[in-house]
Amino acid sequence: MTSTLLEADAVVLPGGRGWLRRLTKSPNWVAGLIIVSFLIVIALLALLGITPFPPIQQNPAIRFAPPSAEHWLGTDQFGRDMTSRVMAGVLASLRVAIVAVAVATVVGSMAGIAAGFFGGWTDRLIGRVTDMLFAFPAILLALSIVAALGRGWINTVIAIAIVYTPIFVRVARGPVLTVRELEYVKAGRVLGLRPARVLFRHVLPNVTAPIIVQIALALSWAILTESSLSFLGLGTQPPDPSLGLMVSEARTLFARGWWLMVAPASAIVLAVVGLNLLGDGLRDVLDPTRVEGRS
Amino acid sequence: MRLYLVRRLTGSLVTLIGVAVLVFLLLRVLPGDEITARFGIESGSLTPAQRESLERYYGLDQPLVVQFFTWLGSVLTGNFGISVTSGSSVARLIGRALPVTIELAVLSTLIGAVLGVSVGVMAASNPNGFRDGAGQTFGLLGLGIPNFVIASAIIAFLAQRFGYFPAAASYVDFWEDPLINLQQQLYPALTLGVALAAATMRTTRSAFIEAASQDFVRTARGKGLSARRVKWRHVLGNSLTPIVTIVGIQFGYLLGGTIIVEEIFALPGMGRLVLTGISQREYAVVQSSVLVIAALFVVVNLLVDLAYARIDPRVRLT
Repeated sequence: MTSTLLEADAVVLPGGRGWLRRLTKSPNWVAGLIIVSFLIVIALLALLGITPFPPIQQNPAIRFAPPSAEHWLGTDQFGRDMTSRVMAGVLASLRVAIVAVAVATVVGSMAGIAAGFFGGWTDRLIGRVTDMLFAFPAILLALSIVAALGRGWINTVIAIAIVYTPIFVRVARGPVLTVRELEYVKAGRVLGLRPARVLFRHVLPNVTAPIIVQIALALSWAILTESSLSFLGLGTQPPDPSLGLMVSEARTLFARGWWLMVAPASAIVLAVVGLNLLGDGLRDVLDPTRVEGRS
Repeated sequence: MRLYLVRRLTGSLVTLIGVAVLVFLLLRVLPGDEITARFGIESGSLTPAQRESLERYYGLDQPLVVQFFTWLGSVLTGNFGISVTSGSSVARLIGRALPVTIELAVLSTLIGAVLGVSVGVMAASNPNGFRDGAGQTFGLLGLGIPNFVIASAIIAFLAQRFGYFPAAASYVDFWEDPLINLQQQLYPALTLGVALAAATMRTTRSAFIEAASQDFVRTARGKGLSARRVKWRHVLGNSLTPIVTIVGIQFGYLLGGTIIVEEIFALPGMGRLVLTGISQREYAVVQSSVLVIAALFVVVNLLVDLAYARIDPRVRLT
């Protein structure tokens, strides 16, 4: 009886069945998927060290070389190959964004689920902390945290993770409040299941859809925040390649080589737009209720 | 309504106190204290006795809670401390920087709202047509291109074409010379306005399409009103609530966006104050300006919520 009542069809994904088929019919989502896959391949190549040239190898003989067959995206003020640098920059941005959003997802969702499931003072405490973090514009909070902890990529990750955790708290808490009151969850409690089992087996599946949508969107914001911090000199430190820093340096060198700005800027825009398309497509299919963002 | 107001106000107050705690703690995490900030590397050669007396002087020997309330008390009475580098009080620095940031935020909001609503209505007038596609591409790119990229591109263009570089020293106050001031504010405001226009456009488009499908629109057309009148008066009028909300929310976010844009365009506003504070390790400056921006953010969000309830009588306040 337990299995039929509690485990069959207990999971109601907001999108219902056939969501994957509907996803592939959304041109935006497919475009986003292609862009993001392309960037992931680039990042993996950079991770394995497969770039046309070493990203930090200088060559004074070919400073400011325009795009050519050998140097697809030209070279910079030290004669470093821009293709390799942009590839390494994409890797750096994605690495920070993925680790930070992973931390934010796990911590935020667990806190949100706990708040919604247990209610009472747990809910109030978590809600207060969330409100507090929401009271800062994202970039200001990230800046302040980096200023407090010092520079370096781990601290950038911590800062971005803290900034985006509250979003996951809110996204996870909402559905839990609804699910908690559903018959099959109540039934599970009445039957004497351990709270942990009710939580993981019956509540968690219902919040996965909105969380997945939020992951895609948070990744795009995280890339924005990471590149903004790097742009301000508070993220990845030179000589390590970073897209934000490259755009920042290109400002004064624009007259010597437009590609110095266009190449890294396009990579950032591609990443942000790709993840946005992916997230929008997922949201349309999985989660019809819009979720508030943070910029 | 009154109950809602009281609850919302106390909620914001609690949040503000939380913000103060967070900002205070952040400063305690920062490596080095006020003594190191004051004496630099020489602080390493202080004798324990000297150190102890300095700690007593700065109140660092007190428990954290006492330190917090001492700090909060002085902040509430307008004493934000002294900026060592510039020699003037932090309150004065903020007093000079805040109007710059607020002016930038207001201008960007104006640009963003006008541009966003126009493009949104254009896109929604003929859903899935060519102009809709163009509008939606604008929306996607406007949100996808970071403001520092737009700003850098504008700077690079201005420098190459006109040999113009913005400098903080040459900033002219609005009351001194409005024309020059507006010229200096124009490009940063455009930069921030694009992202805001993109968000506004997306909201306008969906609200407009939804309103256009309602019965009263058919009635209005049926009684012989011109298409233009129906479009601007009936449809847009009924999609205003979400538009006003998104513009209000974005105004709050602008306070964050200004940080980077001010830095790039060398506008002496709050964002620049924070950033130079960080690079010069001026804790009093960083702490106070972060607190002021966050407080402003909370207040703006509160006002948006209240305005929302005011505009749309259907909103039930509980």
